[in-house]
Amino acid sequence: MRIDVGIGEFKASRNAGDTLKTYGLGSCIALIIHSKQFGAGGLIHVALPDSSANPAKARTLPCYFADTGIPKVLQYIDCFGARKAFSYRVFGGASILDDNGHFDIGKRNLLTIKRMLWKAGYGIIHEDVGGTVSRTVALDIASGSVAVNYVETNKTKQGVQRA
Amino acid sequence: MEVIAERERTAVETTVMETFAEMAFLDVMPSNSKNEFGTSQGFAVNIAGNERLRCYLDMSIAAKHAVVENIHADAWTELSSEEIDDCLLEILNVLGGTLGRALWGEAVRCKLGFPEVVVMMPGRGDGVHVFDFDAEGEPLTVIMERRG
Repeated sequence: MRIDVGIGEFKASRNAGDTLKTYGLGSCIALIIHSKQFGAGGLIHVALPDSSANPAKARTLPCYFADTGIPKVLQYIDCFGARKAFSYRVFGGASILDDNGHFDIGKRNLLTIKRMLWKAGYGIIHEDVGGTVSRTVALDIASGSVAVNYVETNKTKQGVQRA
Repeated sequence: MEVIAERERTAVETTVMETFAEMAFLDVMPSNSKNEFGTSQGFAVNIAGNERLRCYLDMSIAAKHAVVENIHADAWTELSSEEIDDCLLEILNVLGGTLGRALWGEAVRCKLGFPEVVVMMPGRGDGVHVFDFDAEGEPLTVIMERRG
């Protein structure tokens, strides 16, 4: 079954027949976790790095922000009691400046996620980030492979990565 | 005052942004504001390649906290002063080496001095090149001084 993950959502599955999919990652980041050992995977679609910009939204949709969303992912992984059994991959983070042209939201999203994982003792094993492309990603729970669809201004290319 | 070439400016800015992103997961961007640090202590390293440079690094206390805590993945208060100094000197060491390569290319042998803590930073207008940055809201400055 295909399970769509919207902006600011985190969804996970342990059903081998499931695919977790999220669409149109611009500056947003998808952090994908997967464990072959447990046959489990999850995908969070983070839009912004810091919840202090909108605490009310962070309360209703914590996974919209990296600083409130990543702990939800780690909480899920902790249910298995074996964080090391999971791999961490990131996609998205296209280079888009904020309204004031002050900072690159995609880069800031990526650095915040990396920082939070690092502080929790984990590293990202694969990243497909940056540039000016929009990415759609889908995680196959059974194999752990991630299909990435890129959309640039005038062209579309496809690729598949495997865990 | 000596004018810095655009290529050199780009090399310094790119090196600083990439070094802090890769090592400390910190988003550092060039800034138009003129950073002031009062009496804070900075760091310096000598770099010799096609020419001799001295590179200074200064940042706010909050920026130092962020850098050190991100690299060590531990709280500032849990770290010894040696660990904190080592961490900040190490990032300057990497910055110096990467900068040498960015300025002069891979083929030029770049020799680095020992990075050191300095109390007296050169002022603006002392014939130095000052590069101001914003480290996620905190001031960070790199100063380049040409030496003979």
